[in-house]
Amino acid sequence: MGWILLSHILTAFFVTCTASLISIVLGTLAAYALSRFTFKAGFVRNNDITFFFISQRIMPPIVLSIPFFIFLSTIGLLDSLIGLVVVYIVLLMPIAVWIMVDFFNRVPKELDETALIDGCNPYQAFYKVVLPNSIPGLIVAGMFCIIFGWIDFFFAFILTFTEVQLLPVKVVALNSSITPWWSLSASALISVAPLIIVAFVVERYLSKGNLSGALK
Amino acid sequence: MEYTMAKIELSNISHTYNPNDNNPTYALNPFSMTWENGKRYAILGPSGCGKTTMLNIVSGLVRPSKGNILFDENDVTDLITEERNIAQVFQFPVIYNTMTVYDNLAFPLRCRNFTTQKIEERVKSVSDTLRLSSFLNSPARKLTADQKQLISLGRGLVREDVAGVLMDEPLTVIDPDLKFRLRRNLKEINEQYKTTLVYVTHDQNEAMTFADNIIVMDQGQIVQVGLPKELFEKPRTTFVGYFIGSPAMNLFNSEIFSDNSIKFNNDTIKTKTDLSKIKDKNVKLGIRSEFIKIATDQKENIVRVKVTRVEDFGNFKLITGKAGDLEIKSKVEREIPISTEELKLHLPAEKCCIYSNEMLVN
Repeated sequence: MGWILLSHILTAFFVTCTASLISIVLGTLAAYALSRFTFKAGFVRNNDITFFFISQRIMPPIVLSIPFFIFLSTIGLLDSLIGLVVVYIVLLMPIAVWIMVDFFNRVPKELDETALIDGCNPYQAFYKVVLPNSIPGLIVAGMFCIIFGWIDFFFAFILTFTEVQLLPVKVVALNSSITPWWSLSASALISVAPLIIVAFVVERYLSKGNLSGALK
Repeated sequence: MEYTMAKIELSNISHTYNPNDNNPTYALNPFSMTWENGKRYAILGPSGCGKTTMLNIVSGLVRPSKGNILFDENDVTDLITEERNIAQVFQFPVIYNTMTVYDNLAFPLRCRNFTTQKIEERVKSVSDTLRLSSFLNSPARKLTADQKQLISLGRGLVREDVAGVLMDEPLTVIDPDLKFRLRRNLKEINEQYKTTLVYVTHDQNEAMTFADNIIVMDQGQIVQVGLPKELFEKPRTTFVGYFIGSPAMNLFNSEIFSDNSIKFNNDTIKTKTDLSKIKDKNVKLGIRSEFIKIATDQKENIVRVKVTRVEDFGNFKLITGKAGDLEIKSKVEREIPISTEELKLHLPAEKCCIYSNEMLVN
């Protein structure tokens, strides 16, 4: 059973991790900018931009499925790993932006200002001072991205067919006219195991204790 | 170009946080000021009077709406913070809590590419001064609030070559004994390295004991700049008189009686001020409670009061008395017995300040 699932586990692992990593990197940069700088374009303000990101998750996934299908088929990425990664970035980045904006808003502005005064330029202030202080937030955002990426069945089912098959799709595909409960149970257990391990590893980072004390 | 040990000039600076409004409210009204190299300045004023905005403008965290900032005659208004070589310490401790105490103190030097040897030497010197030597290898986040503030202070002082060290109520969270010692240390650092120190506070005792010059601010305006003695004895406005000194200056509504005397509450008080040129006859008499004493054999400038309260502060007694509707406070030595209900108080002419439209008449 394990060997049958292995290639699907690796595919799912690659898609989830790549999409989560890119989402976290881009999402963190966007969130920092939204938290620290004021943007104005017509009636659009920072909150509107943040809402725009989150609004990508408000619509039911079925609404996005047809546009994604047409889009991926147009650029020839239907049933491919890259296509799936692109779609997952669109789905996961709002989560990263949402969590990180809230997190950066709670990191005192004085921390950045002190770094500037101490001689950093704004980029150095971000990656030398603010980012190390934001590890709990990054871990939370990362964990949400991995969970949502790993458990996604809908887009994996609609946008891939034979070349690429992610774990949830494969588990469902094991079903047949006579339900093989033993194989299904085992594969379901294998598919949730990574998430349980991730939860155990990151649990200690979830407390915000690491940040308290940066100010006061 | 890095500015070291500079004369800091603020020229026609003003600032508003809502510049696009039709009627912007100014956090700082236009003013000009020069901070000489190597001196100690205290900015004193109530909360929200623009003290912090002024510091942020000098350090470059805030760009002034109008005016220029000059370091040694060079315009730095458009320079970003890290190019100004300014140190600033905030009211509450800001530490890099992922680093050790040593790394926190070394951070400003590392950012400016100092040699390892120089960094070690400076961190040692500053940590000795601030009594942080035994914590150098501890994670900064594990320290107490006042120790964290010492780290903030240390980061401000670790660079010897800064154009100025700006401190925004840095000792608020520090206990009184250490506070006293740190103020002395700051003075020593200023005398040794000739670093310009600017110290924002709303504690007048702190300002009086620390600074060469005190800048008093109110509602975005600089009300008076002067030596501690000048501010205490000759406040330029009634606000300064009220704000500086504990208790606040006695202020009485009075009328001009002659060229050198005023009348309040049926008593005539002589002053050393020439009152002949004042058009408005309604003025205010201001006098510190420290200068009002119980009359012994004086004949002039006597006010009879009914004692309403006597408070013993340990090293002095504060008498509160009523003369008609007016309340007069007088600080007297604690040994003097005050038994009578009625007292004669003497207001020395040379200590009386006359205010017309809230401004001191010279």
